[in-house]
Amino acid sequence: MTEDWGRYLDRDGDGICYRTYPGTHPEKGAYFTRGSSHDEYAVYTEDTDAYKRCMERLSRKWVTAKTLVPVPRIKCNDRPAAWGVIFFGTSTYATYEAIEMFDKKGIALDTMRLRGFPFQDEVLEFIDQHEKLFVIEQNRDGQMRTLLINELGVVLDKLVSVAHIDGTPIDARYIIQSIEAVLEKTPKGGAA
Amino acid sequence: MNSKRPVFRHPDLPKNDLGYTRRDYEGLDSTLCAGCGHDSISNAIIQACFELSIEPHRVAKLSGIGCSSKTPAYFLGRSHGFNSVHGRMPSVATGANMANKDLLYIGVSGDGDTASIGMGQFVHVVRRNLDMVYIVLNNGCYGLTKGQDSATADKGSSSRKGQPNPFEAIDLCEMAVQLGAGFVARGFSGDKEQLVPLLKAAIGHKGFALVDVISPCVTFNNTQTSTKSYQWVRDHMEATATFDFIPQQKEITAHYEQGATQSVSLHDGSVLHLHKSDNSFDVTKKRAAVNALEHHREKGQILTGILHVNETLKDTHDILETTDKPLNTLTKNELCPGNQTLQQIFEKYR
Repeated sequence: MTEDWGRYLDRDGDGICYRTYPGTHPEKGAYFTRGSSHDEYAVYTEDTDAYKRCMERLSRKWVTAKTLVPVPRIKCNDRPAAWGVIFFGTSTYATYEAIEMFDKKGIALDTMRLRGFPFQDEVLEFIDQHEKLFVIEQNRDGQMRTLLINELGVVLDKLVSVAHIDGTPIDARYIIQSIEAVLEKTPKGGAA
Repeated sequence: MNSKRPVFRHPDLPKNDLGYTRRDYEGLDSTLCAGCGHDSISNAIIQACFELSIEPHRVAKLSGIGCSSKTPAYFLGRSHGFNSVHGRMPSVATGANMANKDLLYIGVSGDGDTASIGMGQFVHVVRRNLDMVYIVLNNGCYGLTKGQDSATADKGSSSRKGQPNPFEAIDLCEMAVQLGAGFVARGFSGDKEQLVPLLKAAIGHKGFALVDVISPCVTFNNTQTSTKSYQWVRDHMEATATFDFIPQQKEITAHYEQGATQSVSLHDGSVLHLHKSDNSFDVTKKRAAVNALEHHREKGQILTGILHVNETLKDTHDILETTDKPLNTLTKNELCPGNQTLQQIFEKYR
């Protein structure tokens, strides 16, 4: 190996550095993993410029990560729907069941199942395509909704939180009741 | 201050069997306080690895958080190191060992890192008998945060500005013996003559080896009122035995008197010859170790040396019957049993 190598040295601009396995080479490749106070060569430092460089490198890694995490599963109706539903994880099948029930009632809702973070462009595109969206989650403070607002700069009122927090698994009935309560207050023909 | 060690090496520096000099086992300059016992332990680790001709790149050094856990930066600069989260070194060591059992794992921890924050991890790595050398740099205080008492501080002992400690101390060696550790020893950073062979023997042992090293904190816990001070330990330490560590490739030339000497063969072929003042102490018996520790504690003494050795125990890999090949070298062909085998497994559950 003749090229310069460092555990936290970004050779190709993607923010992801090459690492070595212990026990591989007698003289090259050993490094000491520790907290964030290190330079590109994993050597402890309190140098502010080195720290800043490493932080900026992590920022690039974050951008690269967007291309590597799974994209969302988006299901859109043939007819344009003003409302969208965002959900993830263990809320998935209860939400699909609720969407099916709404469909039978003639209410069209587009869905987006989030599968990764950081959010890809597809997530923002889906939000932009709808007037209002329900964010279904099992978290009192609606942290996924907050994450979407913070990360994508979405207008606060556009995302309506449907939070299920009674200690039991979320079910379709709860989702239907929560969404209907909002829809009933909405003038016919579009989102409020 | 910015001082750099000269890179010049005298051509006649002694070399070990691998052709390495002692300098090849050193690390970065220490940033610990001048006189810190931890630096002596780093030097003892360097000396032991140099004398045993261990390939530096075949060592993985791991640590938690604290003054103790900074030290892997100061020894074995050619070895991979991992300065982990407070008290979590055993988990990282376990994971690394599962991935590649062919390396020598040296874990460095402190009394706070082991006996308080990492107690839950420590006891389980002992009972699982992970093949590693676990070195506790025991100064009885949290030196990195201005010297508060740790859980190994003796009852009644007080540090530079503290009150006498009102709580009972945890004896890590006694605990390790009770939990089934196959190698338990206690050293003193001020006694290099004893510490280097202790570390060598621990390296030669297969399975979990605890070396609890009393290592005075010169800044916060080296007063006359502290039982972890240089002076107090020197005045009150007593060794189980003097001993010779004979590496596997060395010819045994000394003559050992029957009765006073107990010989123990280690896994790697090395042999320990313990020359004891008390013939009734059998280093292979757990109960003898616990009795000896308690006996000396009652007398106000610190028992050092090899406290317990049991070479018959299975290590984690043997217990779990893992593959001989390091897991990180297994390919998909070896890891994936194939659809046919998978279907056969499913059939068993139908």
